[in-house]
Amino acid sequence: MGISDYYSKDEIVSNSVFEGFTTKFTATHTRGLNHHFYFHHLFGELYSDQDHLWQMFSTQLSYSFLPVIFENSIGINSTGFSLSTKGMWINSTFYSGNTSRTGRKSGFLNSALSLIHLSEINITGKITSELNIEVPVIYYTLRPGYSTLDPDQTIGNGATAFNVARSGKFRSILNQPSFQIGSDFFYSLKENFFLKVGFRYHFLKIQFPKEFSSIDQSFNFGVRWTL
Amino acid sequence: MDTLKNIIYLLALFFFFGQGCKETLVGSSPADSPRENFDQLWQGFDQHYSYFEIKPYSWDSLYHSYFQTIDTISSDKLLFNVLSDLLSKLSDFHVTLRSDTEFYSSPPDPGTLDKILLELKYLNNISRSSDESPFLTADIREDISYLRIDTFRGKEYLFKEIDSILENLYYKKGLILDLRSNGGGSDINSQIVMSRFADKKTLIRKIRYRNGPQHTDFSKPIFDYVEPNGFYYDKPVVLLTDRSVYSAAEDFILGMRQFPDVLVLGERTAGSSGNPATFDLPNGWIYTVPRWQILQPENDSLYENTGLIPDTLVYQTERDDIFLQDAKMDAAVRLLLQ
Repeated sequence: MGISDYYSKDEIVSNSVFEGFTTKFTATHTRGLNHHFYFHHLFGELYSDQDHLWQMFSTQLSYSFLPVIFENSIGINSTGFSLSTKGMWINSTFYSGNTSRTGRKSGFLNSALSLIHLSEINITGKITSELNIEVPVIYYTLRPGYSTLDPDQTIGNGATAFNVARSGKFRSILNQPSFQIGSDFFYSLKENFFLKVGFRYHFLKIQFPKEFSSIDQSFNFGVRWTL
Repeated sequence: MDTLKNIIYLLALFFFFGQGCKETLVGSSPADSPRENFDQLWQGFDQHYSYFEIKPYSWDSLYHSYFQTIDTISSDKLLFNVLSDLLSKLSDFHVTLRSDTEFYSSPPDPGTLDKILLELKYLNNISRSSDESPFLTADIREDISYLRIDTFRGKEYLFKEIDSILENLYYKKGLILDLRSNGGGSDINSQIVMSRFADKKTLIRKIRYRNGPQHTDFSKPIFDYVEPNGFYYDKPVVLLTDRSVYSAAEDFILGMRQFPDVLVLGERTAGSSGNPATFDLPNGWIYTVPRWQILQPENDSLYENTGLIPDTLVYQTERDDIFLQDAKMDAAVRLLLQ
């Protein structure tokens, strides 16, 4: 689990930047050497300079296939791909004097195919490090509509799950740039049990129907054990 | 120990690098200056407002008209007045601007409902179930009931009281449903009440959202239906309206007039149908922008500004005021007795 310093702008809601610290939970499961499953959940409150509020929730599920490319005395290098789905939900509230008004709801649902490189390095006998970089290549992204949520706009055609699902857009790295750099350090307490400290830097930009962009810097702490 | 230090240095390096890139990659908030606040407000309406095509002013021309004034503004009070003046050109009840200390909206029409006159001259056995209830019931004569709906604001459960109210009124010959001075609220609440008068699934309105940067960008029309629900009231209803009927209360009339036993009597309604969204300015002030159009289901025409035309037009004259008469109530009673 960790703390995330979140800095974001969603022009569907406001032209102002909202920022704040959020709480993040992460669980990882590795099966064999190559198959990795991840679950991330992040929630918290972000504020603008004028103290308007976003309540934000985000959940991500992903699977990575990372075969070893080469191995030497320093460490192991793996390169592969990941499939992930990430949803974010934003509730906005604006304050003025003693009055509060609910603003637009926003967010996205993003499915991506990404390229990943992971380097595992032995620093000392007890400390190992993992450095990774992830660059999504192709996305399918659902966003609220220009004026309201898409289900409202498609009611005329039937607000079925299928109609809502097909209202998304395919995007590539060229028009929806994103990357994540991560660094984890593991300290071995016992043969199969490690303490972990890590850092993630994640940038995302979505450009329709209005721009959403965010930087999420998180420090996380946890444990890892192997069977 | 050196390794641990290196790790901490590396993490700190990542963090400070990340902090430095924030504004480059994501951008920053707009500056809080009179010019920027004016531009943001103007653009917010330019990108979202749904009724430019029926307004008498060109939004672009208004920008240039106020352009020179903005740079001379020296106080928040003056800025609020200038921005309010700009918005007043839209004459739209759903357009608002709010600072910590001030509030702008188009002033509502006072209407023709005289509650004191009604209570003294027309109504008997006046009843309201609680202070929160939006419904006031009364008898007009032994055979005619009166129901006033003050608002469509409030929790949904308050509006479900309509079932027991209509059940109690059902033994009478007909109902005068007074909507005057109802400023609207939630269209969900108005549809809860409306559904008790519906004899079958009925198209009550068409909606289209502004969905692009051009003033003429709209979604396909969304067809909005109401279905029978709860206690069905099938006796004659005369619905009283005037210029003080706004927004969700106008939606209510749009639906009610589709039903066979309902007659709308009075004056045109306010003509204010916008469904506003809230946005903020760089100085923290908040404003609301109507983002949809409602089309009348019969002919796809707008009623924004013009209002809904009743089936029977009845105006309150000076003579009515002098003789302490509510012309609409008198006409409604006559109709129900015919």
